[in-house]
Amino acid sequence: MSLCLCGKIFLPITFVLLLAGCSPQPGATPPSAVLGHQGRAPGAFSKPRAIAIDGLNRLAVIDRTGRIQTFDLRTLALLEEWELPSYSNGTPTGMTLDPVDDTIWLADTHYQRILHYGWDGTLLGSFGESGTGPGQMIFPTDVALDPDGETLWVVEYGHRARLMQFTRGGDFVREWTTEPYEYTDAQRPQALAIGEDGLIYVADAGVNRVLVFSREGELLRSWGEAGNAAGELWFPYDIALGPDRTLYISEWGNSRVSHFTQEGEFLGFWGIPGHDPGMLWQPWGVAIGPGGQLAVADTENHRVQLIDRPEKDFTKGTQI
Amino acid sequence: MALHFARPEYLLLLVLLPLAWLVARRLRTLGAGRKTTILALRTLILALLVLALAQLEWRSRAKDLTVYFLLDQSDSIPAELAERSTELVQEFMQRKTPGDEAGIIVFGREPSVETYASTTAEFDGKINSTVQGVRTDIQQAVSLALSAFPNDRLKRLVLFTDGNENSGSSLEVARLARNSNVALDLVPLRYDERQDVQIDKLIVPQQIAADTPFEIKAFLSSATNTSGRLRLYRDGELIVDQEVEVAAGRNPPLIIPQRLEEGGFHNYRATFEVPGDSRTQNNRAEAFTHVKDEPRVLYVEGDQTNRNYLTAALRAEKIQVDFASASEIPYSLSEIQSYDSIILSNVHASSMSRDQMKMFERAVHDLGVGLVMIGGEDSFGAGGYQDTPIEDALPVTMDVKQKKVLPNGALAIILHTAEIPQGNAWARDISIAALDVLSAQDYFGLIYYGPKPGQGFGGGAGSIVETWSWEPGMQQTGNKREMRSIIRGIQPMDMQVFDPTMEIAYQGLKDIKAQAKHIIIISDGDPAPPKQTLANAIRDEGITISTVAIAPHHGQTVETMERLAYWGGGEFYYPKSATELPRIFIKEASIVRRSLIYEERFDPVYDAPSEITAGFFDLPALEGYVVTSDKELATIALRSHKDDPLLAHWRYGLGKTVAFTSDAKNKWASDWVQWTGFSKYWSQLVRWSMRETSSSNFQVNTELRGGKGIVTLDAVDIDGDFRNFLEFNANVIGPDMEPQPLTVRQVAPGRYQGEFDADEVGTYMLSMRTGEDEQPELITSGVSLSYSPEYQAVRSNDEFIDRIAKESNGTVVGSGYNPFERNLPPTERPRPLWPWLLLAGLLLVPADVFVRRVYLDWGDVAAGIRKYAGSVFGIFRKGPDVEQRSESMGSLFAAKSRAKQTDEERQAAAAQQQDRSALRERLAQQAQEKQGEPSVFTEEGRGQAPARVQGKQTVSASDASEEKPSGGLAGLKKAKERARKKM
Repeated sequence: MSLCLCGKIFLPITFVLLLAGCSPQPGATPPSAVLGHQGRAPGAFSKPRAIAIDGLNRLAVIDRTGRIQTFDLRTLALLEEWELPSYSNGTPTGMTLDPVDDTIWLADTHYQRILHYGWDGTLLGSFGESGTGPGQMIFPTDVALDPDGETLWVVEYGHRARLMQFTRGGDFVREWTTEPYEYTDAQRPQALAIGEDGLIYVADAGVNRVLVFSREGELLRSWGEAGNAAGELWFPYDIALGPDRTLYISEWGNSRVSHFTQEGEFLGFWGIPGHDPGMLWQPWGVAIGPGGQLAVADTENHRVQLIDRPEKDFTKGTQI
Repeated sequence: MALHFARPEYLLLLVLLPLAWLVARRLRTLGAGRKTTILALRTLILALLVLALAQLEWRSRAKDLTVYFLLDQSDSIPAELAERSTELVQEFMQRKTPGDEAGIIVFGREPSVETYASTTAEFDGKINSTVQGVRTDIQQAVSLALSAFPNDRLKRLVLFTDGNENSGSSLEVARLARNSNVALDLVPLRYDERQDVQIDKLIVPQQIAADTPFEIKAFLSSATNTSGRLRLYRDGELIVDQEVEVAAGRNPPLIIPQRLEEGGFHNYRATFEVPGDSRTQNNRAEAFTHVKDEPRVLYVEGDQTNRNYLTAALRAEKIQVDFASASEIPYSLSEIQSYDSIILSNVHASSMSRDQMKMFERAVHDLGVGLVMIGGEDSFGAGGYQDTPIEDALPVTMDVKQKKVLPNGALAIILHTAEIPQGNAWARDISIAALDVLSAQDYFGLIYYGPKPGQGFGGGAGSIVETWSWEPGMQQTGNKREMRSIIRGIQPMDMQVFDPTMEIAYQGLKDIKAQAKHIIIISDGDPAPPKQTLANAIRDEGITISTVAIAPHHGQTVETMERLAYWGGGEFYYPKSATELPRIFIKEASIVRRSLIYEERFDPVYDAPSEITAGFFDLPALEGYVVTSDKELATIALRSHKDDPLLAHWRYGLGKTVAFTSDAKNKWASDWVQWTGFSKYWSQLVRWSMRETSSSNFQVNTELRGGKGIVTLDAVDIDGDFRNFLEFNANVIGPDMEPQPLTVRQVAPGRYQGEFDADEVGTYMLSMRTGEDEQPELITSGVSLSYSPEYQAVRSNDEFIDRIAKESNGTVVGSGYNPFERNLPPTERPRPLWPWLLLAGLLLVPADVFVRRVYLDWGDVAAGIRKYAGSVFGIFRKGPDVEQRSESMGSLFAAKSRAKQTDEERQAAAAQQQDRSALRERLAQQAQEKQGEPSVFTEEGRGQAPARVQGKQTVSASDASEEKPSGGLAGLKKAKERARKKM
């Protein structure tokens, strides 16, 4: 039986279209789970920003409604929900867990302070005041603690790009800073991560680079190029250190999470711009759980996406 | 149930039927049978068409019922009654039986369909439609319901009303409902307000002489005996505050003696406060008067320190001058109207709203007020007056086209408005406001973080970037319409860092050839602060930066924005509300229009002769002016050394406007302010612009009655005799600022009257012009509608409800009423038949053609049927004979070709046939001579030809095949030629 010309043309096209419709888009690897949807109800999110996962597989998420919600990542059940003391100016952009007791530390960006919470919503403490002097801050974007939990690091950009060291009690120790209204290496340090080697990794959304500081606050090196090609960075908004000492960086501008070695070698990425599961829309926070599970705050899609095995699900190499 | 003609007059066309028979005379060549058939067909077609035109209908009785509930939602209905109405509708809806339809229309000033009629309609007691309650228009509501009814049903309207109609005529529409077989029942909403006092009117003499006593009369009415506080304000100032006793019903007028010294228009406003008043909207009234006096002008000066030069000059020439700063520009037409001319000197366009500018333009055009604009940094195009109503009124345009090297500017705006509510909408509005200030030569561009133009958010990774609103960035604004359309689509997002957008602006502006380059940055200031070195580089290129801080999160961000403006050499704005933004952007955008300012010393050059420059022969030099262009009909009395207008004037509508593009102070006119002719020149200029004063021989009175304004003019001459047969060119400007023409007619000796629509609350200014163009007489007047008549109603109008019921033949409903009761007169349901008639007529047309064109030999038809029957039934016996089949096909083709032939072709073919017969005879003769054998071409032989010949003009295929010899072809050719000649 012979196939007419129309058949010869349309049958393969239909076949291809069917195939295309059935398989995910190239680069869009489905997540293990999607948590939440848009809303103000318990379990729902409005632009989730900062996230963190503790050793018990509990996820904390802060969103634009000024709420912190915690979830059990094994069952995805909502555990607790509480409100920040104030959030009309804006909400915190940075969240970190205490390496000692797993409590929650927040950089309350628009209130120029650091907040410390227990997992039941108890406010354990806070420090910080508005200003440009030593220990004062304007728009602190992230906070991180040394593995021993005794030293806090804070980045801010309000008056100048600055990395500050504090004691756990909030006493100022030292700072590394750019000149006000003049920048060379940093412009908008947006996120912090402390390596096991004690080095401080700072993602800067102004210069689109990762800056590496010594514990003495000395800038050792920096890497990253602005752009949207694989391995380039476009508004790196959060940085998380994986168990294998690699870095996961969420990119607000490129709507993806990129994976690098601590030296800046590109390993792969997850997510493409879009709204389906496996796609991201201007993500902010990224966090790594104790088992290597990765969570990303898919901010403009008002949800959190979870990737159980990033080492498997990330697209390797530079192919986009 | 019957047949009915909707347009029976078209049946008269049936008399044209015999025409069909007359036409049939052309069919004489056809047989009698075919002729009769065709005649019958044509008669039938025409008859069907006539019946279709007469709109033949089939009417059957409607059985199902549709009810529309009309709910009065006007402000006169007390809240509890409005609530009761909706409860009643809910109760009524419960009585709906299957097949019944119900719908709801609510109305006030205009009707709105809450629910279209349907069998499934439900009502939860909540009205979602919003209507304006300031009027009651029953007519429109009933008309809407009548048009919303389906055709084929019984119809009922249930009208909930208090009978206080103040717009339209419900009686008229009630009659229409009755004539349309629609039942109109009324649910009266009865009330009687016990606690209401209202000011019925405030009477102030419309024209008074200065320093002469007069009386103001306030007419009050009340539902009860009570007391309250009467306050009277003159031009906003409280002048009377007293306790007043009022009796139930209409009260005698309260008389307040007054005396006014100051000329011009004066506004009076009265309020009455009484505790527990159920309707406060009707407790105020407004009126104004005009005091005749010396000519007065309002001098608005943006540069307050140098206002005395002109003020002193005008006062020296006996012109009364009121001074105002840019923030004190009048907001009402009655205020503007109180001046004979307005002077705007160095007042930026952003000091006025567009409505205010429109008011000025109307005041000039329709009320004859003069307008003078004097130059300065904030005047004409440099002051942002491009494309404004003020520009329309002035005798020069702000767009400069006549220059070889066009002065231009370039404006870039960096938009970061995402942090304020409706941020994107504001971004678009302010961008368009800035664009509107620019001229076609100016460059414009917007920079923001967001999707690239035309890409939307689906542009893939990296689509959110710092970007221009359009490529290649800065563009001249020749096509503002297209630019506006692009701006309406921009989606600026949050911005994290200042530098990249500033860098883009810098690069975009750097290489553009423009006299002034400017950047405006609007932000909350929380992106990472910019580099000072970049700001310095921008400034070094001669580009200025202004900043606007909106909703900053921290004092530091305010400082950043302020610092940026300081580095950029521009202004810093910190508006309290986003509503201030358009004004700021208009002002800032016009900075690039400063390129229109020429600052060099020059001697004014006389051009057209003018009343303003008459008597001046040697004007002093000036040191600067704003470049403008001539308007075609304007008089350009003076020009600059570069041939630009310096002094231009023209008549604009009833008023006159003047443009003096240099200034009247010591900046550009330092020689002028010391010149002895300064006062005379400016007084001559301002006097020329002034409104022609109204004649004292007219007494004018304007009052409002039932939604209409009535103006009455009494005209006498200086001897006291009536002035008759005057013609007026008059119009009224209502609260919407749109002029409406006013016809003023003579109604009695020396008395003239005109009427205009006045149902909007607000002020109505009238201007009436009569006399010759050279010596016109201008009469102005005005009246205020203080509140809508809706608020005059203090009780329901039960008599009027009864009248509506009477006109509609409906009932005023009581208890036990069921709107779904089928007690209505029968309604016939028409079904139009015309489409079917038309279709039948059209289908018969091919039948007519068939009968005319195709000859049917009934014998052959019968044979054909027999053969067909044989072939069908004999299929199992024997297959059809191939030869026979081809013969049948041949005859069919022949019949087809015959049908195609025209009469002329047939005649030509007949001629050819004759020729062929002759040819055949000749050929047969030759053959006989040669062989002595009989031939198939002889008459005898032809009868034995294998092909069967049908029809008299048909030539068999064998005939043609035998005509091949060359002699035969030549003969055919000749025959064809002959046939052609006959044609």
